[in-house]
Amino acid sequence: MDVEIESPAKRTLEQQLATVRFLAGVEQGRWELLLLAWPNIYVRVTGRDPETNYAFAHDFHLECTGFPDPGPYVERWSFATNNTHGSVPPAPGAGSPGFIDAMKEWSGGLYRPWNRAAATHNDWARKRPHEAWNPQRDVTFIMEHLYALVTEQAVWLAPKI
Amino acid sequence: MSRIRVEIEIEDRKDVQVIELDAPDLDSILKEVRALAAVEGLHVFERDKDEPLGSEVLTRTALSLHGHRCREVEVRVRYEHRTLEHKFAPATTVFRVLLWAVGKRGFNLDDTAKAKANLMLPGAEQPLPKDAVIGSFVKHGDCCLTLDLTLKDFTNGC
Repeated sequence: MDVEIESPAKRTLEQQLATVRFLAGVEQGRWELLLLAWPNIYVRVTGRDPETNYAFAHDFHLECTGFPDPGPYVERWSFATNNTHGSVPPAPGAGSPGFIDAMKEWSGGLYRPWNRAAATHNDWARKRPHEAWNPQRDVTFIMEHLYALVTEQAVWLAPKI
Repeated sequence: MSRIRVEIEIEDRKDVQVIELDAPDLDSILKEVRALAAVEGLHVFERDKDEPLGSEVLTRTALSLHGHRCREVEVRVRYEHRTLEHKFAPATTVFRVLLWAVGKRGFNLDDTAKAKANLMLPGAEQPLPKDAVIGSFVKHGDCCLTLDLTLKDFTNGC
């Protein structure tokens, strides 16, 4: 009988998705795990403008092969219940400069040092260790950065609604 | 009521502890947290909340808490030649303090400057993690925190 051996990387990710910090973020409405389809996870992150409580949400795709070393490849996403679980949406045209910079068209997903593909860009991980992934970090580290990004956008959008 | 898993961070201690409680009421959660802290006069907050823990959390299954003997922290943010002050709960994240500091009630920076803004401890070389709670940088007896607002670009890879 064939026995499927569970990937240690998958097990590590699942353990981190079950931590108090991750689940508390879900229960507080900061983020939602839409789908775990190893090695991919799809999440929806919701930020709120603290002044008006205006909410803005965006989906993201994290590809987690080898997790936690290397860290996830992170890209903007539009989730759908189809064979591909959605697709990469166009880069946003208007928004807070930080959000637009992170979400811009670029060959390696989100333009931030905590994204696997961006970490080596111009030696970014070494220059920005406070924002770079390392194997001692938890997937909630990525979620918190995504939450800050979409909150920045919520704050930018709130007075324009 | 169900089982609640509780993550607890106390003041500026580095260790974070996790406990599990079966169908607790609010008093039993607070009792457990205060026993772990082993200090008198502890205020207990959910992470990034302004008010102390209330019974609304009893429907939850996961709680991330911060305990501190300061009920409020007087945060002084320095930028250029000005200093602004505001009181926050110790469980407030650095990110929320930053939003205040760059916003209309703070230094009212333009959008481009906001995107570059970070908060640093005086003399530090790296900005504070945005998801850290300010109480973790404040010792008991001194319910104040001085931070520098910097526009040094920590995000651009070039």
